[in-house]
Amino acid sequence: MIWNTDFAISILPKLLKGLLITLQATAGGTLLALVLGLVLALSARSGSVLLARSAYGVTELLRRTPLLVHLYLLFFALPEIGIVLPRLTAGILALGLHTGSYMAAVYQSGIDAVPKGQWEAAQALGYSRFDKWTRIILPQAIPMMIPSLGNYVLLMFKESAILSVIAVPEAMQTAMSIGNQTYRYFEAVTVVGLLYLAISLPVAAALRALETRLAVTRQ
Amino acid sequence: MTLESIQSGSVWIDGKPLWHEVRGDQLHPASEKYLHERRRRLGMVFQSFNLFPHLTVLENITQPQRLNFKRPRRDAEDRAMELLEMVGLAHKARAWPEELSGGQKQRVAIARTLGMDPEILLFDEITSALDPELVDEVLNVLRRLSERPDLTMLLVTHEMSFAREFSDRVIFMESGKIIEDAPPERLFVNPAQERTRQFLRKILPHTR
Amino acid sequence: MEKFLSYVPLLIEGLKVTLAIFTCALVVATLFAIVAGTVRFSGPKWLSRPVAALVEFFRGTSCFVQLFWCFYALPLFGLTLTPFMTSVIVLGLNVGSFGSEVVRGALEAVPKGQIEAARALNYSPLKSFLHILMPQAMRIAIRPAANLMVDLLKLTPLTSLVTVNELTRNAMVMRNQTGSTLGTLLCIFAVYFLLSSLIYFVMNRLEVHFIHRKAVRAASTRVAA
Repeated sequence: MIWNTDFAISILPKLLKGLLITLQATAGGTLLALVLGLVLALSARSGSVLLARSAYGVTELLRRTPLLVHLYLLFFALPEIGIVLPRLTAGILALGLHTGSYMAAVYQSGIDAVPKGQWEAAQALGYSRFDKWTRIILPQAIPMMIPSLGNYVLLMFKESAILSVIAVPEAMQTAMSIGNQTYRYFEAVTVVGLLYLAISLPVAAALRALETRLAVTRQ
Repeated sequence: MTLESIQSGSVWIDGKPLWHEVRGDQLHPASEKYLHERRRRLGMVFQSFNLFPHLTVLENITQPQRLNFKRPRRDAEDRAMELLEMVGLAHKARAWPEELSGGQKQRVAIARTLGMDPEILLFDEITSALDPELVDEVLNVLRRLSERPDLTMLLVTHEMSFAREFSDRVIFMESGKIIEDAPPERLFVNPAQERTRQFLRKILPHTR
Repeated sequence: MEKFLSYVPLLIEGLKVTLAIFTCALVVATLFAIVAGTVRFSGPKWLSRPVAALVEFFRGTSCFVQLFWCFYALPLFGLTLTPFMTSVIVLGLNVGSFGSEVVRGALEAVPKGQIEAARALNYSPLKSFLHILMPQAMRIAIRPAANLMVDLLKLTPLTSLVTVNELTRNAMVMRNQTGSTLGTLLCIFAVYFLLSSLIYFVMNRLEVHFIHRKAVRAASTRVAA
């Protein structure tokens, strides 16, 4: 038969274990992406032409090339020059770099959205550069960015399935290995797909609701 | 028009209802097809011009004629150039709407509506969004239109002097109700209603 | 070095396949985006609800999972397609789903006054949609569409995992044969970068042509995410 419900239920514990690794990878990648995105965004706005151009260059190099190639480069190519990364680390790096480049654009537009008057007021009131950013600009910019940043985190969560190609034991890899052992790929891939949906749909809905609320309070 | 819909009552044009069909001596809500036919005689110019930005000035005037009246391209273009001459913008035929000033856009909008040969023209505060300096050029076009015997013009406006000089009939409304309906020589000089007097006192400092 | 060069034809073969998948999937994606986006914008509930569900499905899971699911599941239902066809359909529907949101947003972004003017000028609902609403929506959609096209290109390597012999897969074969991983991968990294940049370049020219505004040229170097 095509679909065996008992089998599908029996593999759930294994898949959930894999999902745990998925969440780990997503968490690590998110941290990296948030930091990298901010660094790239701030560098792109810097007065130093060299820094700004470099930031732009790095961002575009990351954004215009596929995640799979990043992953292969980090895991298969780096050993050639002596850097050997553990699987999960390579995976987190790839996810973080890739998504970080998208987040840079979110940071940029969030910072641009802070009214010009805030900058002028901070200047006029004698705030130091550091304080201006940490007390005036970022506190206003960040809440607006949360829905977009959240969406990219969600995207990363889904894209983490790609880590299975370097044998990271996350959800998809677990499903494939179950399939390889039992030849029942259909249940494995369907259940893992449902697990992804079970998490991504509510989170997406919550982000949409958050976005609506923020748009209202902005009025 | 079906830009709005009516909640009650009926609208009559030339002895025939707009929103209803007459069957026997009963009024029935009109079908889409009937409405579409009836609407052909109406034209409307908007406060925000609503020119089609993806078409040139000439195309803005010719496309509705060609698509909706099935006029051949040549005829539509001739008519369009005629109308552009009338509003003083023939030299802008190949321009894009975004290149025009507000007054020019409104004049093109008027030409566009006239291209559909309407018998009744509705003008919804067409000068309210314009720079004061650009209002005159639009009013000049309206002035010329008001001399045509075949055109009925319905203007919603704040331009008191224009209303006074060129209208046959003025209706003063508030909160959806008609306060007064009279020829301009009466309404502006010796209004019957107190509310009208109040309004005019504030708007026209020289009126009693 | 010689060994490296002797495998270049293999990469070119792979590139051809990548471009073939990209082009076919782009057609599928564009059609689906326009149809689904229009239905969700102004279609009847009985049609827009199932379409919305389909779109949410494709947006809710990764393309990787969708590819594998279709690859393994479809044959069980009697649908045997080549890996190429499966890839084209999955990639097309995946990107098309994101595209349908772009189309819907673009349709909603056209000022309501345009529709009012069209109705006042006696355009039928269909004619308003085709001649006034759609042309303006498509212009609004050019930038997001460019980003989605690059996303589509970046999805093509995933098809190597369902046995399609495109560029990345051939590069990995080449890497096995020549032992040069870094060189090969950097090579295809550059190819993808150039292809993406080409897409942005073409779409920017398109935008300038259709929007005929000089200001667009200045802003066009930075295409937002």
